[in-house]
Amino acid sequence: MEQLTSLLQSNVVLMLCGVLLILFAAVGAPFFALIAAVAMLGFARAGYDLTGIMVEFNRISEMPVLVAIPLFTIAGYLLAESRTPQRIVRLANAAIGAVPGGLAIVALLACAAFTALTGASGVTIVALGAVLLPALRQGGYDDRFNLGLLTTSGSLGMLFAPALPLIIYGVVAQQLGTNPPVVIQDLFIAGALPGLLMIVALAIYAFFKAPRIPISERNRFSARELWDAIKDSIWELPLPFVVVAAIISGKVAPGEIAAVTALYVVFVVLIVRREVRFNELGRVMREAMVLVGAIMTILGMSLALTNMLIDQEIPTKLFEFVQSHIDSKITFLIILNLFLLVFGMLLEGFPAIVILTPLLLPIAIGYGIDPIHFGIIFVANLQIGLFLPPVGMNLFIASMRFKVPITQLIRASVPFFLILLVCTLIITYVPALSLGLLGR
Amino acid sequence: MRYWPRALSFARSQSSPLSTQTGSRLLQLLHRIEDALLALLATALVLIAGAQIGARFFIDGSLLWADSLLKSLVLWLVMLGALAAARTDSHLGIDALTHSLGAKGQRLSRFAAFSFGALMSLVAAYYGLELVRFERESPSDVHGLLPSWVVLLVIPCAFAGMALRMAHSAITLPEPK
Repeated sequence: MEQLTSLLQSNVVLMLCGVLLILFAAVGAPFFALIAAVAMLGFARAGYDLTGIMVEFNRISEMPVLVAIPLFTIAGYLLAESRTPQRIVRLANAAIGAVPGGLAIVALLACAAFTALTGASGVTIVALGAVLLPALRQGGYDDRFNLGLLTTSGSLGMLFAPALPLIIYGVVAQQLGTNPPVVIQDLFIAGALPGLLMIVALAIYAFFKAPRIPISERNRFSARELWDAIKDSIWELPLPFVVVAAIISGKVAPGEIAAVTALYVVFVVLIVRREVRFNELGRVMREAMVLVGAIMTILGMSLALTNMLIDQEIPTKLFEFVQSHIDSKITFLIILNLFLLVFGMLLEGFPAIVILTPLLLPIAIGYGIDPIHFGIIFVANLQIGLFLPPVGMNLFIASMRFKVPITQLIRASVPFFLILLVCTLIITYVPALSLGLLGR
Repeated sequence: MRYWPRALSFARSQSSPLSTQTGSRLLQLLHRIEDALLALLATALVLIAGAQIGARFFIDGSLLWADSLLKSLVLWLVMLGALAAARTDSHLGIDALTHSLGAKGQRLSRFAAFSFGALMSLVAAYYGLELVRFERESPSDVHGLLPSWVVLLVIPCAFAGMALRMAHSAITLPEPK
């Protein structure tokens, strides 16, 4: 152990380890193992007992907020297995389907609501794509538009409560002891307007791209169908309102909102609707827990990494380095956007959050950026990264789901990418959009 | 979460080291026990978390035992979930860069990636065991139903299982989905 400690003092050895780890990352080694390796190198270099890594890892069981992650995931996977996606689409269609571009806007809203409720786990395209793609085709929309819209919409809603990226960011940011502290409920509120901005911008685009159909042949608005659709989704309808009300009240912790959501969804899907049978429960729960296990082992190892980084004062050193090269907040924000986009293209959302937050947040605070605003910038950038080549998860999911080559999806996503990029820039440079509702 | 096969160009694996009949039957049984345990614990999590908030709002009390039980359940679900994720190669990693490699390159990179994963899991299992030993010598949580070190045992056990599964994945081809 002591030999290892003295060996690691050499910069050449450290560089060699770094190159090796990057190679392992490039060939697809699991992130939790890579993060654990970096944390261990740091612990060993400082001469600490490596058991400390597992002490840090075990803190995933000590933070009350983290109970929200399995609970929301269970609720999301159960909803995805039920016929809730179809009912959401029917309701939205009955309400606004008659407006030009209405069907596309339905797709946007349904995807955003679903992504938020399922915690941005990639199930949106799988669950809703099969319903929405044929509907859009039947509505006379251009197929290139449809594919771009659905690929993009799979990540829309990451900024809305209770999507997991905001919770994960909040947990990691809290480790850094920022001033003002990062409260997860604040993140939920701060994400609302930026998320809406993205939806509205895409809805305007959809309005102009909608097929020109003579008024006589358009879907007419039917009060009866709307009423039937409301009755049809009577059990699902209260859910978003309860979640939003609970967040705004500020009296309920995220773990408690998750508990109510999960309990309600289990009750509705299993007992009232009976759309998931009890003998399927094992499979659905396993699929949900596989995601939870994959995310939270990364989070656990990253707690050790964050601890090591702070102990070695790496964020401070990084800030001093950056500050000596970049003097204005605006320049920093531009570079931050570029950096996050590139990283979003290479890393998946959750690993990117746990790896980059401890490094970048202290720098951002140094430039006077509110930690809540920073979280929203971060998630907004990652949301775009989810459908950018080469590793954008949604490209692969959509390609599998719609049986279309990835290159075709990339081309179809370009206009949507540009729109969301403009939105992200607005979110970045207009802090009031994120902080206004919080009165900061 | 991966919804696409790790490497589409691989042929179906013909034989795995455990494909003898009793072996694979035992393995299937193990998988079913794992799945059942996951479903049971996840359901318990939903019910207990629900009961706790019910107690807070309706009888204005708190369930002291529920707090530490929920924390233990989260740990067990995470570790068993991670173990199940290793079964289906579902741990998150960058896998798009190797798509363009030939069959040999893909096999080699798969070997490297999973060997590394197995090695780090083994190291985590070892230090997890150390953690259990420390906890046994000086317990920190005395409110739980079980001694806290027993709850923590899931960490080394699951990491050891993940190491085995990843070592197995390193030398076999992925299952087509």
